[in-house]
Amino acid sequence: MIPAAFEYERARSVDEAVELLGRDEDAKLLAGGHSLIPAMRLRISRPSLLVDIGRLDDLRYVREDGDRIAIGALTRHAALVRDPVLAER
Amino acid sequence: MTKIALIVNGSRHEADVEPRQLLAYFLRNELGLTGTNVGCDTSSCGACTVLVDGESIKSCTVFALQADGSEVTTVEGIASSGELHPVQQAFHEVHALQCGYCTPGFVMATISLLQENPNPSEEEIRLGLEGNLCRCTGYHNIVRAVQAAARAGA
Repeated sequence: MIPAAFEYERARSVDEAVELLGRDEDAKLLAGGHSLIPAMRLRISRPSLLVDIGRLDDLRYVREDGDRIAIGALTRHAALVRDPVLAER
Repeated sequence: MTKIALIVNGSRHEADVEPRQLLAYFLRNELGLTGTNVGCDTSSCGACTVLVDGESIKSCTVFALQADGSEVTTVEGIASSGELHPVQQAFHEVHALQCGYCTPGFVMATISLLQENPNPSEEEIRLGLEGNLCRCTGYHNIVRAVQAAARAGA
């Protein structure tokens, strides 16, 4: 099971990720990859460009924001399970 | 092809890889580190578990490019000066394997689990290792081995 060929770019900021995504209408974001990579291996998904946002640590957070809790888009489930802010609320 | 540089088991490697090259196959076919087994090849079974920057990942579902600049540890890299790693020693002593195919993945997942939680309860061990499957169904001894490794301060 080998994915179809694609180009790969690792974004160094959210702005760069947005810019890279805008270059190619068949681009996809790669975060954890637990859904996308198996789909690519089955060739159900064949993006021409993968924009890897996995190292954008500023998208990884849990913080209180008034009466809400904000969770960053790259926060892992395991981090949520252990998070003290969520445990308290 | 894209050039990557990564440290595997303490040694620096540079290689040209296709973006679609998966880390498990890079380790096995390019570096000859066949201790990392590929079981289900769909990220369900955990046989291919390795550590990337200290965290366990399923290497059949990570591109080698994603590990560029990282430190990767495979089962070949955990023993030191001829001594088994305490987790390996515990799996050996408690006989936590039958056919052994899943063992490298379980050992690596256990190292990661014990780093996060040095004294896990039985329930925490079973939950922590739920991403690894043993088709021989040898789970009881695997749990005992993790407990033994925890006692040994792994």
